[in-house]
Amino acid sequence: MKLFLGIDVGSVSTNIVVIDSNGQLLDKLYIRSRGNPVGSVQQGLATVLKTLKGHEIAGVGTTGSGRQLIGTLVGADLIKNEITAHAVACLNLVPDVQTIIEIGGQDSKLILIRDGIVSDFAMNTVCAAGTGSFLDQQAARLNMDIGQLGDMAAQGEHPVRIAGRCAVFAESDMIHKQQMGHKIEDILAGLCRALVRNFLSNLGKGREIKAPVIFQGGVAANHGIRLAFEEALGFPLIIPEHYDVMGALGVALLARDKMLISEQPSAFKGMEIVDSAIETSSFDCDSCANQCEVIELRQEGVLIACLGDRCGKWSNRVHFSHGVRETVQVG
Amino acid sequence: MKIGIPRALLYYWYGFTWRTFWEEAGAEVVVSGPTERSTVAIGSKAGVDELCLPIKIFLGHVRQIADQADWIMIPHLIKVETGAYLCPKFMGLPDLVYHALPDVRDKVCVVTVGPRNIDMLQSLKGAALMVGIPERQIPKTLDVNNRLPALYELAKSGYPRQSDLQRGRLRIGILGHPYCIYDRCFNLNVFDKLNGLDVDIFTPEMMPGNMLGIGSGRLHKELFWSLGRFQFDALEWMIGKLKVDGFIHLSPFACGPEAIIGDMLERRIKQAGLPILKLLFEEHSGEAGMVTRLEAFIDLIHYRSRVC
Repeated sequence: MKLFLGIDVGSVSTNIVVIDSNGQLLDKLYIRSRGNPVGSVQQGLATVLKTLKGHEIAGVGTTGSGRQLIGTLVGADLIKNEITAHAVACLNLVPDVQTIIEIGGQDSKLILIRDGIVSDFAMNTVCAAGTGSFLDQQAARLNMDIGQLGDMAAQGEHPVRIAGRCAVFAESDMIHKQQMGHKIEDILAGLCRALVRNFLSNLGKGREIKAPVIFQGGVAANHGIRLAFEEALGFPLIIPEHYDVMGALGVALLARDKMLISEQPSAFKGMEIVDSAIETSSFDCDSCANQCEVIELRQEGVLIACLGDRCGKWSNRVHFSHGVRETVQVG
Repeated sequence: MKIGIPRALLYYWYGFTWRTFWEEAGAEVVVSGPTERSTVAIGSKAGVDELCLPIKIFLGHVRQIADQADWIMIPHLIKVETGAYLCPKFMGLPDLVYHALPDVRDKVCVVTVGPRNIDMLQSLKGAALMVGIPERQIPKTLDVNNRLPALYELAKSGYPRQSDLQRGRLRIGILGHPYCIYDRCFNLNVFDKLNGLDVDIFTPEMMPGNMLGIGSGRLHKELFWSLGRFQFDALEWMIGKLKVDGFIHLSPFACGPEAIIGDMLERRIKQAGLPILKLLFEEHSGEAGMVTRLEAFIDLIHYRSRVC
């Protein structure tokens, strides 16, 4: 059977899905990146190995903020941005979807779909207030599990007012309310409302949010946020079964489409990357004023990829290394 | 005698005019190099925290050129045309330099730009006399109205291409202030990123002179920011004549005028049924977020054009 892999390397989590040529999801995986995208992908691939055994891997797609690095590492057939990947996954699931709300670790996105295509999108600007990382941080501060935080927020009956415009102000507001003696459930419910308010006024500004709305991304697991959204919008949200791996699913579908049309063998480098030692290193090239930050990827000491240089001075070296271990490290 | 000109702010419009004036007057002109990360670092250290990134970059350029020149030309930008003004920070530029960089104070030579070209010539003449250029050497005319530094930056990145005339490629209109569009360090090299995505770009400075005043004249109320007016003229040119497929708006994170102008531009673009991507820049050098947005935006336009 031909199988297709989708890998989404986000800021907080690394997700891997395995689908067959009918688009059926066979295996999925959500693991925390913990600042180590390469290691988490290796670990993830090792975990899905049992599903892949005995089958041909006919296509691999990568997405997420680490898509270039990981795409080069695993030999991806398709490297695509998250927005397109999310839209594809949603359209596959709910063909008449009009709006997608996606809140991940560092990004929050609002994607509008009309007539089956992305017609507009908005992403949070330079600020990460209201995204998963902030909720994570608050959960850590309150010494609770992130899942627990969402459930507690959903129990809040009298949400207190929290400033949602800025994460720093939101935190100091929360601390203040805590010291005043408000119940933690009410504070968390207030926080959820504030984040939703911020999302809608920031990303939703001037955009029509029509139902059906799909809510996905890691934060979709948070009942508090979901309730706050439903309250603000006035209609229920659809949370897909695989809400946490939609990006990976989308890019797997895109890779499947591409590979089934082109009928070429996949560029996938195989499973040996799981067990080999992979190192990344970086340096600033000082050959010209561009001062590119060059990233080198070594597998068992052999240079396998070089990213980030604009002129190709370093990345072209890969074609000449012929799998030979370098004696002198150029970086 | 060496005259230093900082490569920042409206240098991208008037740089050539200034340069030719000083060279004709017999002075040697040194222009600071393209902005680098170190320029930003120096500028942020000199300025107070409330300054926007372009002003910090300006201060960085002044600092970097100070040791190479006998005089540093600081443009005093109050109004570059009649009836419209520039940002208050531009109006106070000489004072900003005096206080942020007190050690270069003695080298400063202020040149007021506008409102008419004759005023700039007068001011340049005064500055030339002040730095000790004999009166007979001072040019009597000024080479104005060409925005060569901006066009030079465009050409350096490979635009406009011959293929601009070809049909079928996506056309993207870039909007924003000249120092946001042409400063590669500021905008994390957005031109190169777009080059890789195989689209044609058009900037306001490519607009022919006869389009000036048309777009901004159609607003229900006169705008009093020159840089805003110029963008509206360019917008009309891009929508009406070029028929671009989408817009990218570049602005500094903390820009007051652009907060309003950007929104007005967005409304006009939405009215024309076109997509717009707004990119805000601060001192961050992480490009991942920007690349994602650019790629998704170009994808979006591709999908839209396929359906229509």
